[in-house]
Amino acid sequence: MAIVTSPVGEAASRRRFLHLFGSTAVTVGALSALSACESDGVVGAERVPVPTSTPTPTGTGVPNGYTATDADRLNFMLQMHYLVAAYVQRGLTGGTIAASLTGGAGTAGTVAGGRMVTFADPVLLASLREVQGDVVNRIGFLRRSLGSAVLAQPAINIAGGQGSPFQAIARPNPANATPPTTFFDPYVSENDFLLGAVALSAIAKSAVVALSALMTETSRATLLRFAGGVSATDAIIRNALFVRADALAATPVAGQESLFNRADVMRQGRDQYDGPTGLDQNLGAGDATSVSANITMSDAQGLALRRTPERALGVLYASAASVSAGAFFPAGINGVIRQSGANAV
Amino acid sequence: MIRICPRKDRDGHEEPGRRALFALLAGAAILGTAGAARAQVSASYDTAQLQFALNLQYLVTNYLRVAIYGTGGQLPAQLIRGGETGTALGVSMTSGSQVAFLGQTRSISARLREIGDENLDRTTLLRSLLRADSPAQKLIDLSPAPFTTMFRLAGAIGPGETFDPYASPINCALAANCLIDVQAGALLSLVPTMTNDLARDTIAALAANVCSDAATVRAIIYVQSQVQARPDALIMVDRLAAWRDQISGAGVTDRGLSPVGSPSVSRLALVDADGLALARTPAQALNVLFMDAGAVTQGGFFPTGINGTTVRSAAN
Repeated sequence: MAIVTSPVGEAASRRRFLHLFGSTAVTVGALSALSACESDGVVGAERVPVPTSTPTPTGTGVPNGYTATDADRLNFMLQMHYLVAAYVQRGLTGGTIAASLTGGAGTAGTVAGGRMVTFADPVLLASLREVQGDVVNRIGFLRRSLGSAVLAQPAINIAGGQGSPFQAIARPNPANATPPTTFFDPYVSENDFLLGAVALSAIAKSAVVALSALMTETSRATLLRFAGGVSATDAIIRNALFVRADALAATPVAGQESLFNRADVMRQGRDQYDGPTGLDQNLGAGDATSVSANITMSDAQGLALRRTPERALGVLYASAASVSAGAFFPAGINGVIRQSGANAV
Repeated sequence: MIRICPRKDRDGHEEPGRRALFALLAGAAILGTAGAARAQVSASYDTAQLQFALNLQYLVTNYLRVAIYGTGGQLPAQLIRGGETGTALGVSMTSGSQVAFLGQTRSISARLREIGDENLDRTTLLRSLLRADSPAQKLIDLSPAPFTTMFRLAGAIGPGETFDPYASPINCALAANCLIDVQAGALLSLVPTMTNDLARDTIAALAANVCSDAATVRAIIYVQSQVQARPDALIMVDRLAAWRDQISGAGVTDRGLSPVGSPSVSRLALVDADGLALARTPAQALNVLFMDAGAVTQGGFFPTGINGTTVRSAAN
């Protein structure tokens, strides 16, 4: 009945969490059998229309169709969390998360690119430490839940600048567009780092919320709380950028582009890879006289925007065509769910 | 015939798939015949859960919209009545007044307005799912009196002090925190018990965004406590959270806001040690909102209780 006093530690409360998926391959096998009875077993995608064109995988041995089990879904959420954790850790310390949190089956990889950001704002730093603490705690939760079914952190590229993954999702890129002369590097400032964090968090939240609702009954309650935690993390990041965007809009600084505008251009950068429906939004808008906020990305009914894994991977692989590797994951992610959708608009 | 919000999202994109699904759920294909345009439909799925969620919507939406827009911002008659045809009128929320958001507090009002407006959308959504089973709004007291009672019970203010949730932007955020933390936890608890796949998917996406709202309000209070040098605001949230946790009985249901550790780590997310959002059952939520640790059916913000199936707090 005690208030949680720390986002980390509390070994006692950690121990009482169930190993939802046991720790043996036998248990995982049993789950696979259970999944055959699911009502949501849309083969090849999680409740997403079947692409009309034939995907052209660039990886090896990638199935065009799959039937996801709960363990597959958790491993997909884990791959998303590896990326967010790698990014925030790099920005905060220049390092990586502990090796004990990244092992598992599949093809293991390392984190390339990125560097420590110079932070001057103690409130922002405290918030980002919280974000990283919660992301790492969720990695621990997923790994304990998966037991021996856990899959490794794949090769991750979080570089900025010309030719980088962040540049690939930083702006809409129609074929007739003028090539950019400056390139997005999220490590050059606090604001740029938040823009990058908003981008990755938007993908993670939308995919996790979509997947959590599909979990089988025994783990649904826990994973809905998981999605709630991811949503809170997303809000922390978006609030941090919003406060800065509002301050800059209220008192413009010569030579600094509106952060609302930059966030919206990056939103368009993500939207080009995830299909025809708007699955992302701006952060709000403002000028010297007024401001409006859009912290919580919602549809017209106040519901969270959701991406299928195939649409999320479209952004993270920076490809509207169906592929199985690219951009932030140069060797693809580990797991059954690993191929992006045919998301070309 | 109910309108299924055929609007575009903020960026102008239609979401035809989701709209079509809603038409199926709330409209004629499942629930009735297309010809009965004015007939009430009373075959909603997961009625008890949706009714409880709607009562939470009544509370949060009325508070935020009156605080932002002033008198007249509260939910209108057609959104608080029982069912769809107006025979069971709801009780309009008449307490509360507009908060003066001046100058540099515009970043606060903009975010609270966003939350209030989205809660209005969610209220409409829940009613479109419940249709004739929509419970009428009962008397909701959002005057300073019940807030003062709660803040005194929690030790957030002294026994002779009063708390006016409309007196300042930071007070408005403190009051919103009291309501939205409860809304978020209760939604996370009731969604998994829903049996209809589509309705559950939908309310899960609603709950996720309420968790986001909760973090936004906590972030507002945290930043304002730094900007305005108001560490007492964090201590007030700490005490309110401790009281909510205590009155909700066994299990961790809430979390303070003061940062911890060195270097400092904020506590903006309402999560446990695994980074998972905290939940409280609907009955536990009523303990907080009725401000009573026992099993009762009214009190606090709801002087005459709520309508629906789950109307009694837990015996803690």
